[in-house]
Order: sequence, then structure tokens, then C-alpha cells
Amino acid sequence: MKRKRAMSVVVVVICCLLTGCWDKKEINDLAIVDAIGVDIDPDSGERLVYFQIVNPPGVGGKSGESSKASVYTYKMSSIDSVSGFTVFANKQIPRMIFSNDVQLYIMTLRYSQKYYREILDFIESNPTRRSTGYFVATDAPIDTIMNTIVPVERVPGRAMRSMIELQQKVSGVYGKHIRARDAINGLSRNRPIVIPFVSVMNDKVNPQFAKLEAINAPYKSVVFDGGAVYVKDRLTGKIDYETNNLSNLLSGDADRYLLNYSDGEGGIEVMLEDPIIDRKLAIAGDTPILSLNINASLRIYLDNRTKDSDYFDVHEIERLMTKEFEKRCLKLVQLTRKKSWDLLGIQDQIDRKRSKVWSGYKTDSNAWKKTDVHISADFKVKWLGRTKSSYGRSESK
Amino acid sequence: METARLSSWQMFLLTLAFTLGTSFFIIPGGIIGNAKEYAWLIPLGAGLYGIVVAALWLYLTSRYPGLGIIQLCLKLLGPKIGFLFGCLYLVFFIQLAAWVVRNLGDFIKVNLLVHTPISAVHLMFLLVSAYTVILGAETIAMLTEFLTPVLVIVFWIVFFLMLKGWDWANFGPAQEFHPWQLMATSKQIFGFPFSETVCLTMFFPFVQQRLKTSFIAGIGVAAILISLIVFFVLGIVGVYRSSHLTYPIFTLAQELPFSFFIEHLEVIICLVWFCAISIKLSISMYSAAAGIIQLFHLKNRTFIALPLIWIILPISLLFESVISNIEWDRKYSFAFDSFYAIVIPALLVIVSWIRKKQLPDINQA
Amino acid sequence: MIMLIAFYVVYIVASTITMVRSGASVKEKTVNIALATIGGVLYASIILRHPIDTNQIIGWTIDFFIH
Repeated sequence: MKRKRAMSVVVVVICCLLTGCWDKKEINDLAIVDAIGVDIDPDSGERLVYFQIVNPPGVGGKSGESSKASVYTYKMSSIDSVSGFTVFANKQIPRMIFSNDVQLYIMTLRYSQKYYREILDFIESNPTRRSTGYFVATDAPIDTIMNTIVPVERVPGRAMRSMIELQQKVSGVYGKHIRARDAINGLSRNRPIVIPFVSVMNDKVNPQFAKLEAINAPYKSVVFDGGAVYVKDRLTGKIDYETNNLSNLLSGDADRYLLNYSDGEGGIEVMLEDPIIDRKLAIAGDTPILSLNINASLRIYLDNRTKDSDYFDVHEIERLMTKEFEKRCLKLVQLTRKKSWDLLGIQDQIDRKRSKVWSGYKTDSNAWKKTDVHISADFKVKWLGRTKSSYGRSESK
Repeated sequence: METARLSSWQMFLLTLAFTLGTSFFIIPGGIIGNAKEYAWLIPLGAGLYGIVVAALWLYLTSRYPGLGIIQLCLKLLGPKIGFLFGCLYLVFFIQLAAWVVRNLGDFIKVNLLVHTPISAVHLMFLLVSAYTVILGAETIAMLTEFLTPVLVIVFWIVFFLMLKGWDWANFGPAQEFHPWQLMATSKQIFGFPFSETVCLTMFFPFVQQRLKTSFIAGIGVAAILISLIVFFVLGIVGVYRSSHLTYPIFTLAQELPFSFFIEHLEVIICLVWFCAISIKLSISMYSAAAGIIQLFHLKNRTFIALPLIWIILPISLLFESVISNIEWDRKYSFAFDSFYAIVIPALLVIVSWIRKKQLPDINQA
Repeated sequence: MIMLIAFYVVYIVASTITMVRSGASVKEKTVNIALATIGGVLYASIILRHPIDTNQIIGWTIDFFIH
């Protein structure tokens, strides 16, 4: 009997030590945030935040429930504190904000011009944040973006995240370094960070779900269009799709690049795959020289340059594509100098050099512009499509 | 030494599966490109050639029953020169295995698993084949006995379903018939697959009866089947399209106009091909492993088959693309295969004659 | 390259241990290691982008004798 009593006392005492209940998170009490949008009100200068909360019944697979909205967007405004957005969120939201699994941070260009560092700081200090969310920039009114449903995928944040990841995988347009942590790292580096840029195909968005019944899928939908370039914390402009792809490839951030060549009448289209980049920065006399050699395999998509043939002339294709690629690289290098975007990360590489020879260049923030860049390519056709030769170009009359 | 026993039916199927192995998928596109509407004649001619060279090997091995080609090299040419020639055969078997895997890898990488590294695809097939090799010749024979009839029947059922798309217009405008010229432009088919059957001489010692009939029938039937396949491809896909396609049979199966509920029969064709390739790969790997065992007088096959993967895998990655593979085949395949199929066996036959002449003299002395 | 070396080492160690346990002869062990090493060298040559191209070697040999 005595022993039993002692046992029960021990159990009660141990129960008191189970502190989990204070921080319990009941899933039914949570408002799971899918995407966060930030903007500035152009009239009042107020900071605006949009929380997109997932509505689980709306994303469920059951047919009856799928007619409900998959997400609800809450708009909040605050003049003086960025923390107030989460602290006072329950003025509108009947559940506890749960931002551990945010898929996407959307910010307008005007917001980022003013509060870029602040938002990064805030996100970085938030202990529940995971580093998996992507950053996206836009110049469209943010409530348009936040209230736009992407067809096929019902949750907009996840949809846009998938679009980014697919573009990384399939086209190589967006590199691997576009997350919050990369933007933060970018503050200490000279190489600009390129944040995916979205716009809306048609501003007059129908926020109603009836839109899902429109057959023209991308009509009134978000569309990715290149990237916004931030040098440290400064927004410096927009970069187009193709240039971003090429710069990512050269800096080892992307492993695919669609390359095409035209001779006026016909052309070649190949996908550059599995690049291996040899990068060397050295000094010759007074000039730093960056040599980049790209070894990659080509997958032939199309070659209608020649007449109907037995086999693709792979050596000619390799030669032409190498020439075309080197030409584009040259253009890219010129663009980086013109726009002052050190997309190849030359200055960062100079800064990492330990030898005393480099000390003069380390203090000169424009040393990268004075660097001679030599880019050479070595391509091998490795993969074809279903055909081993082309049907040739159209014969001129 | 392994003491396996194969029936003549098993030998027939081994020969058939080996000859059809990679070739029925790869050959049509190439020879149709060269020979247009007469392409179906080429496999027949090449089959005849295959039978003639097979007769040479059969003659050679019948003089020394119970010995494979590498053992014959050792016996007839002595331990040093014989060892050298034995090693040459090893190179041949290993190269062959590597090409077989590469053909498969190219196909999978282009049509099925675009993002998967080709070496991973190769490794999976090599591991399975290595396991078969470890189990031995009888296992390979039984596997072939079990699979080949099913594969052939399934393949032809699917193929006959495709006949719906037959169109005589696909044979294109009539060309002049220059048989010798046609044979000369398509000479690689004499090497691949018909001369490659020299691999199977490693299995000759295991066959109990009717070796000659089963082996020659295997080559003959394979030639007829390849010819039929080419003929069907000509009639269904057409001369013009086939000469541009890398794998016309795959395309043909993809476009099968059969019915609205049976679709994607290319999957079946692919499976048939993968099985056939696995058999061919196992046979060539087995030949290499058996060759090493005979040359170095070893016992255990396990640790011959596994390190063979280490060699075959990198060699299989050497060709840059399908095109460079085809270019190599056009230039060198006939010469390379003929060296192993005709030159060395003929040399062995001559040496065996000389030895036989010398032997009575020694006996008399 | 590091992966290749790791695989090679693991293979050699694992195969040698298995062979020692099963009482394989010295010759068998040597052949196993020799074959794996040849393969390792071939693979390394590909990774280092200076492949020992057996196809090319065969081509050259044939060209040498025939042409």
C-alpha cells in the first residue's frame, strides 16, 4: 500500500515536470501561412502585410469540399512596427499565426527599395522561420498577386514555389540561391542576388473562384518574368530570363541552358546539360584575368539548318554552338560592366584571395570591371531526340 | 571449370536471343537509311554470312570437343601466344558488354529517364547481369528458355496489331537494285550482330547434342526475324521516316492505331527489349568471366563478375553520343568483329591442321 | 572523384574480407583487385576528362593495319 502511494506521488510530480502543455500547438488552432506579401501603401506610406492562410477543407481531395476557397488572404497595415503584423494578427484572424512553413515571401519593388534590410532582419530573427521559403519580387499591386489563383495548383504560394523549382530543374533560369538565406548572404557580397520577378498577365483579376472555370488558363494569372537584381540591399534593375539563365550557368548555379542558333534560314536548338566549370582567377602583369572553361553535354532538340540528311553533323553542331555560346558570354560580360552587376562574382573571388599581390585589388571596388574575362566552351553532343537526323529546312521556292 | 549441361533447344534460344538482343531495336533505322526499300534483304544476306562463319567455328570446335574458343587458343597456340589471343578475346567480350549496355543507356536516357544519370541506369543492368553470371551458364540458359519464347510471342502479337497501319506507299519511290553496293554500305551488320555470336563459342562445351543444328538454326531464325521486323517497319513507318528515326520500332509502337483502350504498347516493346538486352549482356559478361577463369585457372566466378562491372561501366560511357556510336560502327565494326570471327578462328584452324600433320610425324618418329 | 575513390575503397575492402572468409586463393584475390583497379583507373580517366578511350584505341589500331 505504501509503495503504491509513493508511486502515485512520483507520477504526479513527474506530470508537473511535463512542460509541453504551455507551448502546445493544436493543429485546429493554427492558421497555417502559405505566403506572406509585403507592400507600402503609396498614399499613406503605411506598410502593408498580406497573410495567405491555407484553408485545409479547400485543398482537400473530396469533391464537395474543393469548391471552398483553398486559401484566405488577410491584409494588415501598420505604420510603425513590422513586428506588429504578427503580434496583432488576431485582430482579424481567429487562429494563431503559424509561419513555420511559409512557401513564399512576396515583396513589391517599392517595399524592397525602402525596407529590404528590415524585412531580411525580421525574417532572420524569427525563430520559427525555415529557410525553405523563396523570395519573389513584383511590381504589380500586391493584392492582385495575393488574390490570384494559379490554375491547376489550388494553393497560390505552393503553386509559385513549384513554378520556381520547376524552372530551376527544367530550364535552369533560376539558380539555387534565391532563398531568404541567400538574400541575407548577399548583403555581405558583391555578387548581386537575383530574385524571381512575377507580374500578372491581366491586372483586372477576378478574385472569385468562378475564374477556375475559365478555359484560358494563364489569363489573369501570375507569370514569372526574369528577376529583380539586388546589389547588397539596393534594387538596381531587372534582368531578363535568358541573361539570368546564362549568368547562373556560368556561376555554377544552374545546370541547364537552352541555346539556339540561327543562320537566317534554319537553326539549331540544343539544351546544354551537366556543365562542369573550370574557373581560374590569376594576374598577368597588372590585369587580373578570369578564365572560365565550360565543359557540357548538348541534347539536340532541333536542327533544321541543313538539307535532309542521314545523320546529324554533330561536330558542326558542336562548333556552331560553342561559337554562339561564347558570343553570348561576351555580351553578358559587357552587360555586367555596363549595369555594374558583378554577376560572375569576380570581386568576391578577388576578396577571397590571400596572396599580397591581390591587396591592391581588394580595396578597389571596381577591380572586377578591370578584370579580363576569357570564357571558352567545350561542348559535346551527347543526347538526341527520337531522330538521328533532321528532315531539313523548308526548301525555298 | 564449370560443368553445365545445355540442351540443344536452350542453345538455339541462346543464339536467337543473343543475335536479336540489341539488334532488332537498333538495326532497322540504320539499314533502312542505307538501303531504303531493300533494307529487309540485308539481314538475310548477313544471316547467310553469319552461318558461314559459324560453320568455321563449329568445324574448329568439333576437332577439339569440350573446349571453348579461349581454351582452343591456349591449346593450339601455346601458353604464351595463346594467352595473348585469349586476352584479345577478353577485350572483345568486355567491349561487347559495354556497347550493349550503352545502347540500352542511350535509349533510356533519351526516351524514358531524361534526368537520371546514364551510369546509374548502366549500373542497375550490370548488377543484375553480374548476378546471373555468378549463377552460371545453366541459369542463363534456363532464363533464356523461360523468357525468349514469351518475349518473341508478345513482341509479334504487338507487331501484328500494328499491321493496321500498313501502307505500301511507305516503301517510297522505287530505287535501282545494286545488291553488292547495298551490302557494302551496310557491312556493319555483318559484324553486329552476326559476327558477335562468336561469344557463344564459350557455351559450346556445355551443349550435349545437336550443337551444330541448334546454333546455325538460331542464327538463321534470328536473321529471318530481323528481316521481317525491317520489312514491317518499312511498311508501317516508311522508308523516309525510318531513316531519320533512331529507334523506329519504338516510334511505331508509340503510334499504334489499335483501339481506344489498349494504348501505350511501346511499354511492352521496351520490356521485351530490356529482357533481350539483359540476356545478351549476361552472355557477353559470362563469356568474359569464363575467359578470365580459363586464362588464370581460377574457380570462383563471383569475384570475377563483380569487378567486371568496374571495367564495363566506364567503357560503356566512352561514346559521346548515339551518332558517334553509329560513326564508329560504320567505320570499324566490321573489321573489328571480323578479326575475332574470322581471322583468329581461321588462324586456329590452320594451326590445328599443321599440328595434326606434325603429330603423325612425331608418332612415327 | 571522391565518390569514386570511396566506392573503390569500399569495394576492395568488402570483397577482400569476403574472399578471405571464404578461403579464396591468392590468385583470385589478385585478379579481383587487378580488375577493379583497371576499372577504377578507366573511370578516373573519364572523370578527369582525359578518358582512356578504348573505342578510339581500337579505331586507331584498325586504321594502322588496314589503311
